[in-house]
Amino acid sequence: MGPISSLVIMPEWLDLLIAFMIGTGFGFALEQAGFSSSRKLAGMFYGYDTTVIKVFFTAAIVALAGSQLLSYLGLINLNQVFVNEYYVTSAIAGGIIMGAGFIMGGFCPGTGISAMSIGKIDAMVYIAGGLTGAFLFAETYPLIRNIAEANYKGPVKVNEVFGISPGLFTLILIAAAAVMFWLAEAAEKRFARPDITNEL
Amino acid sequence: MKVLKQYWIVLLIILATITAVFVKGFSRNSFRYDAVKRAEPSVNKANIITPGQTARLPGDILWIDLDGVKNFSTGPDEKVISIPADSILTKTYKKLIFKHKGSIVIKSADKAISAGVWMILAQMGIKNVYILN
Amino acid sequence: MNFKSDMKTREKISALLLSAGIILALLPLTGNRSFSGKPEKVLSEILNAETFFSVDQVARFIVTEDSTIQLIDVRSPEAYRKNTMPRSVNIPYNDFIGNDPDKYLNNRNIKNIFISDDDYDSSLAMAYSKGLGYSNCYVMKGGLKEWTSTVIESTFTGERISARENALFETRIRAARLFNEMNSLPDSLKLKFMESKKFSAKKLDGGCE
Repeated sequence: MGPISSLVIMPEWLDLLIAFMIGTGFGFALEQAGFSSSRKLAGMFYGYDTTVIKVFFTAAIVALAGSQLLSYLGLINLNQVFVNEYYVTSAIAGGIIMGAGFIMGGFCPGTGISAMSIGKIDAMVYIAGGLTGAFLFAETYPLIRNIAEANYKGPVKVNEVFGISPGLFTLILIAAAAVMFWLAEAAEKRFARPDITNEL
Repeated sequence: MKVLKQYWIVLLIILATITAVFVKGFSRNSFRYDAVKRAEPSVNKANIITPGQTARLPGDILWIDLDGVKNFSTGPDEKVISIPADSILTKTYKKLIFKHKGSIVIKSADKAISAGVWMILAQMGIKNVYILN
Repeated sequence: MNFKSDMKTREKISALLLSAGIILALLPLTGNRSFSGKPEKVLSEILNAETFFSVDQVARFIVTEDSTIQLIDVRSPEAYRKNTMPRSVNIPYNDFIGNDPDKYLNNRNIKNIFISDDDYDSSLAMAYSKGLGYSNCYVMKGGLKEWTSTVIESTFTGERISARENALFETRIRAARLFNEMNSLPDSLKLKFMESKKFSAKKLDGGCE
């Protein structure tokens, strides 16, 4: 729990307990939002149900705005937040594979585990496939290493690339989210599938 | 009025946030500046000044002796004050330092004391503070 | 599904988020940290006598190979190469300020003792660290000047020596020996030693690795 544990000294078990509680809350929220239904998730790509983008994007901007405010007030240390290292080629390739897998399987890794926990067989097969893919990636890594590590940019942040303050970037992202939600609502009307959405 | 009634919780949260931000922003009892930026003068030694260089400092100079003995060899006497290092952030002296418009020169026989006090004052937002070499 | 109440909730959340975004856009946020805690408390920690170790204490740490101590020399690499303190690492002051100190100071079980020629740079580094919340930072009082005059050039005069003085003198002799051995190494070996002691950026744990 980097941002909190660097400001408050806490024993490791408490650190892990907080992580466990947050994970439990995340799984609970996913399930109650209906994300264990593959038809709801696939609806994001077909346009008839855009709940996924609304929920995840809202969560992202709430976390972004909240963490920055807490950081300004000195309550958390944002320098402890892990920033993913950016490899352009593997981000594009991985994104394509992930997107194709998402629409074909109707799950992403997190929602797949959430669905698996309520006994859905398709989610169990999906997760087994995901673990197989991860294993194969690890075993074949020496062969694909050059592609995986191509175009390395380091742990970059978007606001640093554009040379704007984190606060201004947050405002732009919130405005973009509002536009996207409006477009999502329009898409739901355009690509409505009452035969599916009435069952969800 | 109807809008206020419907959105009272939203307005309350926004008001609370703005209040917290203002309190943090204008409080002299806390640090609020970029630590790296404020420490920069110490990296290129721009915060150390010799007696000869004090003539070039902008505005009036406030001389502070941190050892409790007024022991400056230069500077007009009326602006030399003696403040023990551990009392420099008491209410009276903090007000004096923050209200001073010109430059502040601090001195101590112990370099560790002058270095430590300089760092604290710089991080609290005082820009024209120097250590007399 | 109550559409009207859903809309109201959405409007409220949107209003809240947009307001938060506007407030954040107006704030002088940076990627860097500022000091934490009350200035009075930080100042009293910086001026506390227990924040300073004498050269004799540091000599004892070196001689006993105390693993709970990390000596950080904040002088320039050239000065460090000329006179290297045994069991120390070199982090020039400008590098220390320019980088996230967490990669050097994140182990809370270790006491970090800053060393410079005199007290100036080491005290600045210590004050900076304590301000950022690293309470495990200290200074070797007097710096290398004091180390040279007290430990390296240590001599005993007088007819009788007490047990305590004897122990002190022995520690100084052993520390001086280690210091001289370190600094009599040929440059190539010294450089190798310095390279091995360099900090590499500690990666934060996280992500999908």
